[in-house]
Amino acid sequence: MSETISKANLRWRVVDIVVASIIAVASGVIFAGWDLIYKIPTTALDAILPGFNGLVCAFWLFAGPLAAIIVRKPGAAIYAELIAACIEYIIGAGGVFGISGSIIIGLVQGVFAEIIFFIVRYRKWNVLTATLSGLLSGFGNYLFEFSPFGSRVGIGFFSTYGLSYLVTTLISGAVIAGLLMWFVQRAIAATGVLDRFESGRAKALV
Amino acid sequence: MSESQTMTVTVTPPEQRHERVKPASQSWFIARLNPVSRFICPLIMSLPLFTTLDVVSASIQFVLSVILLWIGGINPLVVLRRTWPVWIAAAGSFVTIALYGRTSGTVHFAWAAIVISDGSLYLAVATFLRVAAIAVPSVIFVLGLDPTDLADGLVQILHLPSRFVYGALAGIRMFTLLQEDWRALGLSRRSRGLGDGNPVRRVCSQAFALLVLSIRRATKLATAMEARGFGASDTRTIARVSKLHTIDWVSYVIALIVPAIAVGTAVATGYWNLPLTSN
Repeated sequence: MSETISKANLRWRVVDIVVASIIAVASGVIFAGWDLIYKIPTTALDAILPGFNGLVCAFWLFAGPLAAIIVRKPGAAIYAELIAACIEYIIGAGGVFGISGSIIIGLVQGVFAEIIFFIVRYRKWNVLTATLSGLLSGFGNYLFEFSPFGSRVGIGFFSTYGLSYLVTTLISGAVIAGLLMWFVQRAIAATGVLDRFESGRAKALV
Repeated sequence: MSESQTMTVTVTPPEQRHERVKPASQSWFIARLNPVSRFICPLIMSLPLFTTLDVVSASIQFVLSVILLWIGGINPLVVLRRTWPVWIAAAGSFVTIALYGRTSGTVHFAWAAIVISDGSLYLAVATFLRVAAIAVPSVIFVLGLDPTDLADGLVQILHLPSRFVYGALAGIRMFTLLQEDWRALGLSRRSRGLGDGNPVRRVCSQAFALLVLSIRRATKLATAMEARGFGASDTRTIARVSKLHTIDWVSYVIALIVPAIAVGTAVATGYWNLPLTSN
């Protein structure tokens, strides 16, 4: 289902801020929980299939796209991903990865998730833009992880492992952080709680 | 209780109650810092380390951090105990880099994409140390941090937009309710016969219900906040003052000196190398 808005209202209302925040907080709690357990299965996965642990990275990526497609405001993806990262950092025993691996990476993922919505000037909110948002967020994750700031800098962007990680993280981002979040947003809209948002009202018109 | 029974409840007058103030950190030094400094310090400390991937700078930074935290009032054993997830993450990174890191020197083992060489093992050790050197102080700095104090600092010191900061804080304050909601949802579902069955399905569907519930509460909260003038165009007045003190500036200086010694030693001993061009 495609949705194009001729004139978008780009100013943040209080309800946009609070709802984006609560989505970010809920996501941050999931991030923090995931931080504690992910390393054991993914290291095992790494030993068998190089780079395939990129498949699980979307569990840190979904906050930005989800908040963006719900509140539909400029910067929503950046805001939600950043707040989620800060929550992860504060409650998750200080973040397993330190301030860079928790907060700076969150900012990068949020900025990349935001790009597509910026390109369409916050007018197209459909399954395609949501999926692309997740995909780009995955790309941001890849860039950070293999850059000097990330923990995989010793491997190299274009090694077999690096390229394999790129493909798996893009798939993961697109499917879980993008496509799945689109359906989550539809399901939330169907319950009627989004009636104060454009994204919730669209459903009623169909 | 029947009406005939009487019960005596002793109540302490407010002025006689002694509630222990929870310290903001186990370290006397960190507890006195502004919450914003508790974010800035680990950031300043970690940035120089990103210019290199070597064992010298990372291990010096780690050792210096642990000694300084000890001076600051936290025993190294406590530091190690509180940071256990970091060590799991660092060990995982060690394995990954050892298997797939840039190859150089003697090759010890090769199978498919896995090549364990002297070079990859060195990078793996360096990554392990760097992850620990960056994450361990971060963890200690943030333990016990109060989100409300942090929000005050972000608005008053860093001048971030107050609507967004306090909006986020409102979201954080609802977090305590989430745990109670989760329990209530579980009980009510169980009473309707939905409690058992596939646990993964149950958790997913309950998590969705929790998300819907939180959004519903967030929209109500937003209305209540607006009714109290939140988000109005007038200038916000300040109830709690957040300021930087001398100790904050001292902490920034320390946060600059530590990586300067660590990276400086690596440069002087020739171990310093740019991460992307290493080997």
